[in-house]
Amino acid sequence: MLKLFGLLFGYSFACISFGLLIYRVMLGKKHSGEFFLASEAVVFSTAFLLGQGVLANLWILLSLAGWFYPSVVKILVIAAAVSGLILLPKHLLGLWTQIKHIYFETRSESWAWQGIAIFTLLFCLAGVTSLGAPLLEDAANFYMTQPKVVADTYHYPVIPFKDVYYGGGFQGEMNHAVFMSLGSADAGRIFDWPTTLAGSALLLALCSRLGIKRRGQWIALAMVVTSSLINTLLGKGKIDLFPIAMGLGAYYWMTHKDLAANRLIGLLAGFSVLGKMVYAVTLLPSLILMLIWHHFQGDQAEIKLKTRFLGLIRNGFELGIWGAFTILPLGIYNLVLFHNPLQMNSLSQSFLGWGFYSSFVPAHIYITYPLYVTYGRIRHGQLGNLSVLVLLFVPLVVLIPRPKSWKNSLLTVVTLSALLAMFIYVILYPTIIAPRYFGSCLFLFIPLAARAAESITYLESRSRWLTFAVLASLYIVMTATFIENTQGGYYDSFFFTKTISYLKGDIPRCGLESWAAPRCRALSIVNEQADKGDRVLYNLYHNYYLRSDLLLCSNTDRLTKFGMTGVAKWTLNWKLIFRDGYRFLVVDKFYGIFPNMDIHPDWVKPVNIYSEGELMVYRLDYQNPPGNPQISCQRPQDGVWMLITQ
Amino acid sequence: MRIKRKFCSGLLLQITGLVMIAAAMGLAQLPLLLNSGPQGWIQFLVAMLGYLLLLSGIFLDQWIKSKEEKINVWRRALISLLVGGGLYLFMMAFATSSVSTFFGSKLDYALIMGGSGCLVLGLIIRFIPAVGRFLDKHRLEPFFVKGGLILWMGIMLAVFLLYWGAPWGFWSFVKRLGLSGYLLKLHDSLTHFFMYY
Repeated sequence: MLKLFGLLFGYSFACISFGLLIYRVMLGKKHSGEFFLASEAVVFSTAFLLGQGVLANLWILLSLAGWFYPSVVKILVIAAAVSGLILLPKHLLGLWTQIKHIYFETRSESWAWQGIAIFTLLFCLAGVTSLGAPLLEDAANFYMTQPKVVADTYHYPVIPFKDVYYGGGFQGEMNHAVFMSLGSADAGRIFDWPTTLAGSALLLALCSRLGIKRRGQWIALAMVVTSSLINTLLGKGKIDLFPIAMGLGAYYWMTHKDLAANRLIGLLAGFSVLGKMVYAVTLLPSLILMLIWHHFQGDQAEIKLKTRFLGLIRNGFELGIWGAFTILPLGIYNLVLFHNPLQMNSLSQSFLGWGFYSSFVPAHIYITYPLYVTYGRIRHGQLGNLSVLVLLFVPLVVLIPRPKSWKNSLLTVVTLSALLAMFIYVILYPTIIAPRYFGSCLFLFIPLAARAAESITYLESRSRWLTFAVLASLYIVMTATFIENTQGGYYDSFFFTKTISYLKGDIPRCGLESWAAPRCRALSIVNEQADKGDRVLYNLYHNYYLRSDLLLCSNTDRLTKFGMTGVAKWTLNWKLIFRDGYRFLVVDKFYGIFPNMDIHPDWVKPVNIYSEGELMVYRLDYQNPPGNPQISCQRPQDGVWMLITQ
Repeated sequence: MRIKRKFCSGLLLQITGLVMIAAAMGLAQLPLLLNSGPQGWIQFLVAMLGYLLLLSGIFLDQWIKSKEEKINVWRRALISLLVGGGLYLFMMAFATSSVSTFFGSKLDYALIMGGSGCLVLGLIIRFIPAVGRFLDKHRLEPFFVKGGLILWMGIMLAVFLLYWGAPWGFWSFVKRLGLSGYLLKLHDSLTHFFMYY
């Protein structure tokens, strides 16, 4: 337990410290006074995101070069932790003052609003109990599996059957990998918790920039923590929360006029894209819209049009340069792995026609899109929505005082940016209703709803009924969400008792899993019995639980290739299995028809070493086989396990 | 003259928006509609009409603004709610009609009637001053606005609880109240609507 939390806080500290240094360098010595207005919470959150973003890029380059050794990682993490130490005391003092200020400001509120504040903080703290959560869907297929192999082999090898994931980003995976290299996969799994908190802090700072007061900020935080988009993904080994937090950081800094902010925006937007490529299509247009607004809003009216255009081009160019510089490692990654720096698997495959519903598009989903990103439970990957509180409070906008000028209203441009990004997403990905693919822009709707709800409670002609409705809605939604998330289900996030039992050692790792638990147990048995470099023939999707060497030595052809034709439909071709050097067979009936294991030649004896439900594991013992295997799996010195044909 | 200029710029915005939406919906639907037959095209046209109506609402608001009349905050809110809400109910009707096997046609009619009613009421309040004065005199505008907003929050909250509330003993509670029959039916309908396989 100490190691887990020590690593979590230690690495977070290293990110903050290193991030502070980057922050300082990015702003330069001659930065404008506006940056001094950035609160310490903003500085710390930005530093944390910058630090982890730059370090993840460093980790990917190290692993591509085959130098991702634990000793190298440790030295670099320590260096990162030390790098910004000198800047820390001043900012820490400022942070403490800010916390005290927020505390006293909240204390001056009525007990009902204090309750909301306490409830939201409880949500934030409860996030740590996602440690007891199961791995979610493809987290056990790729997002935790690839980092495990990277940490164990010190390289970045390509694992069979995971082609679709490569080239779509790597920030989250490398965050997981560094914790695995340092000795705690669990710490890596819940690293998205502090990252989400940092992203939330920046969203609240964005609200503050839009003129939303403390009460509205608590409402905005309540909207974040009751979004199943956060709760479903927290601590589950998925990587979607990293690009969301980075994107929110980019949006926050985009509200600043200062030129120096361009560097931070470029970096944060780049990291978001490196987290998940699909964020490029929503982040870029919305950021560009905000950039254009900066140059054409009212207070720029006295500047000549030509000068404004030139300024826009210069700012856009600078932002683009920093963004391009940030995603440069992705080009290197693609070049090394696929010999094509512009390989964009996930983005191009998702474009237009590809999707979860290949046959037709349900028109009613488009017409009711706001409802679908709130209540929708689309099978195959929706995985979480925006909080219902946003939908509840948005119509209250009709009662907020109108801005003096729409053109000069930052809230208007932020909301328009969110609309534009959502619109573009719907055009490009008509069949994929997945808020996690454009989460940061979806969260940009929160300030409008929070502002509306807050205004109602401050209205001169204050309506007690409306204030009561706002408060009641907040309490009802938060209570329901909290209770719902403690039910221990696959999509829930708060696992209080399970986390404690796991930390005490009463529950094994496989005990945390949900429907993947049998797969975890089965592969653990294989791990115990297999020698280094043994080949395992399997048709499993969730293979995170298999040892790294076994993963790399596993089958490169689908199980169906090993079926005999002409004899019986699902009799295995044992000669082929022996020829390819397989020692273990793991068959999951869930992913295909189960082979007839009774029919086999005398020289092979399949010994059933584990069976549970639809899952069967066999050790293949050979006695006087015909000849020798033609394929073996070996690890060259300082290399990765690879198949050798005799 | 000024009103006319604003009217034209509003119209230009509307046309630009429409071209964008047409392109968007065309792009979104075209690759998949090619195989889905006339029903898909009808759905496509309905979706287009929905967005057209929504834009018209925005345009209408622009136009109202361009008249530069001083109207009180409650009346403006009431008009916005009625027009916006009416348009959205209209679109909901089209949405539910595409899955009417789950909801039944009564809901479609109710939504269309409700939507039309709201829209017409909104326009009446805006353009017939006597109605506005009557509402103002009897202090009905704040009442309707607050009532409408609370109703919206109530409905959305009910959907949230009915739909997501199932795991935490909500159903045993409604069973005790003797409401489980209707509520379960509603819950099933919502599930069919929002869970798309």
